[in-house]
Amino acid sequence: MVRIILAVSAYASVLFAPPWVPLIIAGVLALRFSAWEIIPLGILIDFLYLPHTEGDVFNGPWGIPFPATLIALVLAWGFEPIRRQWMR
Amino acid sequence: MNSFQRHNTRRPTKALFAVTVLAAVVVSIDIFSGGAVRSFARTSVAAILQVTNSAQNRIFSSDIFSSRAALRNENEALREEVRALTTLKTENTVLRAENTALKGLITVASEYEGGISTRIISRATASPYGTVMLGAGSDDAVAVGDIVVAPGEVVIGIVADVDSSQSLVQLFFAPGVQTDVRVGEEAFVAEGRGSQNATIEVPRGISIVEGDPVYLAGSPFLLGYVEHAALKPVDAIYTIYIGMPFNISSLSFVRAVRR
Repeated sequence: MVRIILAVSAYASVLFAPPWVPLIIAGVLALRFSAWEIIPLGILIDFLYLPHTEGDVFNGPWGIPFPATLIALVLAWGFEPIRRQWMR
Repeated sequence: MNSFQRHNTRRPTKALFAVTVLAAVVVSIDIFSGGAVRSFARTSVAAILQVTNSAQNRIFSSDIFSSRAALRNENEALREEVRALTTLKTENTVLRAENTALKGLITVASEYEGGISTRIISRATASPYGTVMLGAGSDDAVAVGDIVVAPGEVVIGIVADVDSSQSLVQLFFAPGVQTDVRVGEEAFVAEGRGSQNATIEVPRGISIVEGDPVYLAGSPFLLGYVEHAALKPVDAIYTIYIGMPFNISSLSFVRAVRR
């Protein structure tokens, strides 16, 4: 139940809250659960807000492609060992 | 580790792996289709945002929360009448606010013909990339490179991406965005710093004071005003801080004009 509430809050905050809100919720989800839902969350942020410029198709800040998706992958997979440690 | 623990920890990892692969597939499809998935996502979210924006406007302009206690004390006939009047008032307030915002764009339209007035449908503070979504797209003749102008002939950004029914605007004051600007007769490059601020590097000897207007180069549109000049006695170049003349979150309507 907590996971569902956090996930719904994260998706709603993508539309209505500053970017640090979904980031924090995604971090909490990744620490507590094997949170696959934060990967689509990152993709959603990039699809909605990342500008598509001529010749430089998916360029985010500092030339990083799909930054939010990459952050989501890092959170989901990077926190997995820590989460497993906690789950033991 | 016993069998229960193995079962409990490995299955979620499989789900995570499956979603990662699926994500890679979706992103690949989007790239190779020229943004078809992204366009679908934006169209779907734009529909949600249009509904929530409309609901929010009606709720905040109807005084429903403050009038509830008073309505409870009235008799049934008066209650019906108040409801009818409240509905009319709500519609009137919404229309009046929209009318005021659109009137402010008329002066812009007179100078730059061929543009289109449209509503900002996403929250300016929600994007991590300093972008906002407009409720008009290629079907409404909005094109990549159009300048987006707010009431008062203040330019806020440039159209960076266009779908059929909505478009994405890169704000000039977003972090790292560089824009050619003009202060008086001098040309500079402004760099966005976020939080509706930008900076320009000015060589010593050029006189710029607080309150000077900063214009988008090659246009009559205002970008902002000089708010602060950080000058040290030893500096050959000093930094000028520019601020927007209004809070972008308060904007409802803008105009996209061809550059």
